[in-house]
Formats: sequence, structure tokens, C-alpha cells
Amino acid sequence: MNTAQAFDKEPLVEGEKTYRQVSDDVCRPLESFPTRLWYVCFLVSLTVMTMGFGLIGYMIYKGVGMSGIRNPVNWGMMIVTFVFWVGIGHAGTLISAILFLFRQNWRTAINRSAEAMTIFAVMCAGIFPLIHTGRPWYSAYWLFPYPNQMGPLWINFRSPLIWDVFAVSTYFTISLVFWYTGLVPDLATVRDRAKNWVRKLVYGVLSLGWRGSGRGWNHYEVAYTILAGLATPLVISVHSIVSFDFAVSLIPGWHTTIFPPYFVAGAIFSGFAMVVTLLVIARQVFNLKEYITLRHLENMNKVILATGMLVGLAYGIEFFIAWYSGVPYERFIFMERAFGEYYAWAYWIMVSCNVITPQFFWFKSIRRNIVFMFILSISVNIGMWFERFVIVATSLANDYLPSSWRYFSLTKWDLGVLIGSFGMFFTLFLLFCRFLPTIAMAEVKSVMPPPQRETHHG
Amino acid sequence: MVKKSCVVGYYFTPDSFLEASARVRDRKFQSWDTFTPFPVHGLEEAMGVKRSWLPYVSFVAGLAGLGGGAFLTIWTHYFSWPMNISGKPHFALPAYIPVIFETTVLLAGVTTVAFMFTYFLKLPNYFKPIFHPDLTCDRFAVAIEVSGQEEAETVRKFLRDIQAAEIHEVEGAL
Repeated sequence: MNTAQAFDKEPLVEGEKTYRQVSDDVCRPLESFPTRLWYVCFLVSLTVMTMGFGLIGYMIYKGVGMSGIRNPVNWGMMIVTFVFWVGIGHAGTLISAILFLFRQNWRTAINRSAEAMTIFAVMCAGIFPLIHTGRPWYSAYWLFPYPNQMGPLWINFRSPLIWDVFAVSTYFTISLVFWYTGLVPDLATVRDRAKNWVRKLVYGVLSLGWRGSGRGWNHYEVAYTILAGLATPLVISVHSIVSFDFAVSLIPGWHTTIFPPYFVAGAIFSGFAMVVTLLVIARQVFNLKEYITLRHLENMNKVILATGMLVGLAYGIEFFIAWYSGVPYERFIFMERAFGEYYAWAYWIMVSCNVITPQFFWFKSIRRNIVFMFILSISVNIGMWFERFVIVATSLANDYLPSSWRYFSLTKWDLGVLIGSFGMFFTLFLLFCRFLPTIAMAEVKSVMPPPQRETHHG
Repeated sequence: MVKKSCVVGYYFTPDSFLEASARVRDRKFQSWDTFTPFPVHGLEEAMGVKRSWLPYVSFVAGLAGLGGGAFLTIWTHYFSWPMNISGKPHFALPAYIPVIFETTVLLAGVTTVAFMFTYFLKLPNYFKPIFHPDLTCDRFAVAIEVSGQEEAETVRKFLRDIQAAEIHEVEGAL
């Protein structure tokens, strides 16, 4: 027993499971017919997603004027929601990469679902800038450097919007590769358990013929560590670059150097809140309470508390710097944000959800209370959507020219597309829970106490 | 040519498996491997395998990504079609760093995984024998490749000596 284990008072897996029980418990949702609850959730999500895509189609057909984007708030709901979804993804990479490098064993039970969440969140995020262009079929021409006959005319690599394209697409690819690499040994487990040939074929093909060879594990673990090492600066870079979209501009309230760390902290904050929301449901529905234990949830709530306070600190520093800079525009925007007639309501929703309510997590009893943490995690998600709304709307609505000031609000189409993206997210997540092992079995087994005597199983 | 087959000894605890693996290592067989449902801690030493040289592959791929990203940004904006956009210089290296960083990470990450699976693990390969379905669940095995009945008998005896809980012989190379 090493020091780290000696300090572990609570076991990572409850109920003194054997290796076989881990496989049985994790594979059960894959190998049995889904419950009625799953069907209900899936149908609802699918309906909402279909509605969302229908609205997107209609919006593109009629023109993006249907969205609330007008002068001067040209970014509107699209960019707010884009930043929101990209941020959600960050917890997944933090859990899978950064906690891996820090040897945090508790990550093993939650990393698979958190990584899945990352991938689905980035997929949802990617939709919004495309709709925002109004003509998404031109996106290859606007976004990627492809050789053409117009000069050739290249995209502008000095623009933060292009940095964003590279950052988000790299992030998506690396997350997918990381996720799949982790999945291969578990897919092999599912293959070897399979009773019918369809399942054997599908999981067999997906698992690439993995056999768990000792020489293979040696290379596999090195590759996994390298990926974690690469994903760590990547995850920090992605939201930093998203924040450059704002910080590189000359808009009061955006043009600050605190944006990259502030955005990264906010991203991890919102991402962990989403992981808690999803896992509280998933452990209930799929009966995984012995794997995703209160200890895991409590740890995540501690991260939420810490990052929530970082975000709160950033809000305070923004105000201080606005005053300290002596720039009248900066001072004006921040006063407008908090006390102005346009968006003070949104600002205080943001502060209450992101700074005030997470303070409940100082209490151990609340950190371990399922109902309470579920409500708080949803509140954080609402707060973090409003944070991006406040940043986009307040700075743009009151621009340099008072005659063009204009209040921005979401249209019903905006709301429909926003809700539709949640439908897409949950549809994908439910499919993931149904068809892939939601817990990294191989990793959980490696942190469990090993069996002490030779036992034979049938 | 003599037909190849594998003699496989099974274990049910990581500890007994690691001991056995170390004994097999010391016998210096030509071709042998172990099979485990998860990466057992200490297996590298017990098998006597060298540290993977995969990191060098990642490093070279990362350098290629770095060079490729630098070439893409600098060539398009400085050589191919210089454009004046809000007075920014054509050779604006600081502004190219995000893109160069992303291409570095992308190429290094994807190459590492692709190389690991295809070169080191020789996957995808759907035609290798799977000795036992429980090897991805709760069994641990050492498999030793033998040619001929005589050698198989020797290996069987050796596996019995090192307390294999079960011993099977499977047709085919390792």
C-alpha cells in the first residue's frame, strides 16, 4: 500500500466487487433491453433535437434575421451558446488528461462519460458559428485554408476567429482519439462477452482485435500518457483562444488580458457542473451507484467550488481594472453591466448562480447531498450561459455611438435552436449510455483492490 | 515445417500472475506474451520489456506539425498572397502561434495513437486467436509459443511448476 492509498479512506468502488462483477455491472445496460425510462428520455430528446434541426433549416432558408442578431449586437445567441457548449466540454478533458497526469485515481469511474460529454458538447458548439454565418455551405471557404483559384485567396490566420476554427477542430479530433483509445480495451470486453453474432461482429470490428497483450499494454500506456500530456495544454489553449475572440477586439469589457484564465476557469466550472448533472442521473438510471460514488461526486463539487470562486474573483478583478484603468468607456460598460437598465437582471442572475450558490459547497453535507448538488449544478449551468450572454450582450448593446444602442433579446427561434442543441446533446449521451460502456472497466479494475486467492469461475 | 501452437497458463490474481510472468521471463523463451484485462502495475518489469520508444515518434510528429503549421501560415500570408488587413504585418509570427500550436498537437496526438495501434500492436488484426473470453474480464494468462509436441510438453510442465491454475494448448502462432 502506498501513501496515496493510505490516505484513501473511502473505497473507489463500493460493495467489494470482483473484476467479473465490474464487467457485469457496466455491461448490463448494453446487454439488456433499455428501460422504459430510457425510451421516454430518448424520445423526448430526439423530438427536441429534430425540432432544433428543423428550426435551423428554416432559419437558414429564411435568413438569419430570424435570430435576434441585429446591429449592434451582431453576435447574439449564436456565439453565446457556442462559447457555452465549448466550455462544457472542458471538464471532460480535465478529468481524462489533467487528473490522469496528477494520478487522481478517482477519475477512472467518471472519465469515460465525461469524455463522451466533451465530444457531444463540442459537436453542439460547432453548429452555432455555422448557423451564424447564415450560409453554412460556404464554411469550408471561410474557415479552412484550401487551395483555390482566386489568387489563391487564403483565410486570415491573423484573425482570432480562424484560431478558433483550428483550436476547436483540433480539440474535437484529439478528444475523439483519446476517447476511442480508452474505449478499445473495453470494447474488447464487450466483444468477448457477446452472445449473438451481430454484437460480436460490431464490437469486434470496433475493438480492432484487441487481446490485452502485455507487450501491447506497455505501448498503450505510453501512448495514453502522451495523449494526456498533449491534451492538457490543448484544453487550456482552446478556451484561451475562444476568449481571444473577445480579448483581441477593441470593445470595452472584452479587451482585457484576464480573459484567457477567466474563460478557462469558467469552462471547467460549467463543465464539472454538467458532469455532475449527467452523472447524478446516469448512476441512478443505470444503477452505477457503487462505481460513481458519493466520493466522486463530492470531489467534483469541490472542483466546482474552487473554480466558481476563481470565476467570482475574475468578476471582481474586471471591475477593479475597469476603474483602475481610468478608461471612461471601460468604466461605463461595467457600470452598465451591473446596474444599467439593459442587462442588470442578467448580470445578477450570473452572479447569484456562479458565485453565491456554489458557496453552499463549503458544507460537506451539501457536497454529498444528491438533490442539493443536482439543483446547484443546474443553477451553475444556467449561470454560465448567462455569463456569456452578459459578456456578449452588454459590451455590444452599448457601443461607442449612443445613437446605435439597442437592446438585444432572444427571439423564439433563438430559443428553439438553443433548446434543440440540448436535445442533440442528450440524444447523443443517451445513445452513448446504451451502446458503449459508460465506465472505463479496464481502468476501474486497475485501481481496485486485487483478489487475494485463486478462484475459479464457470 | 512444424505446426506452431501456444501453451497458455491462466491465473486469477494479479500477484500470482506477476510472479509467474517473472519466472517465464527468466526462462528466456523465444516468443511469449501475457494477456490481462487491464494494465497490471509492475508488468513491464515482470515481463522484462523495454520502455516503448513511442515518445520519439510523437516528438517527430509534433515537430512536423510545428513545421507544417509554420509553413502554412507564413507561406500563405507572406509569400503566396500577402494582404494588408488592418495594417497587420505580413510576417506576424505572434498571431500565427495559436494555429501552429494546434497543428503541432493535432499531428503529434493522431500520429501517436495511429502508430501505437498499427505499428506496435499490429492492429487492426481480426485473425489472431483469442485464448479465452475471460482474458478481457478477470483472467490473466501467460502464453508461450511452441513448435512440436515435445516442446509443448516441456512448457506444460514448466507452467505447472509455476502454479498456473489452468493450462490450455491453442493452435496457431502467438
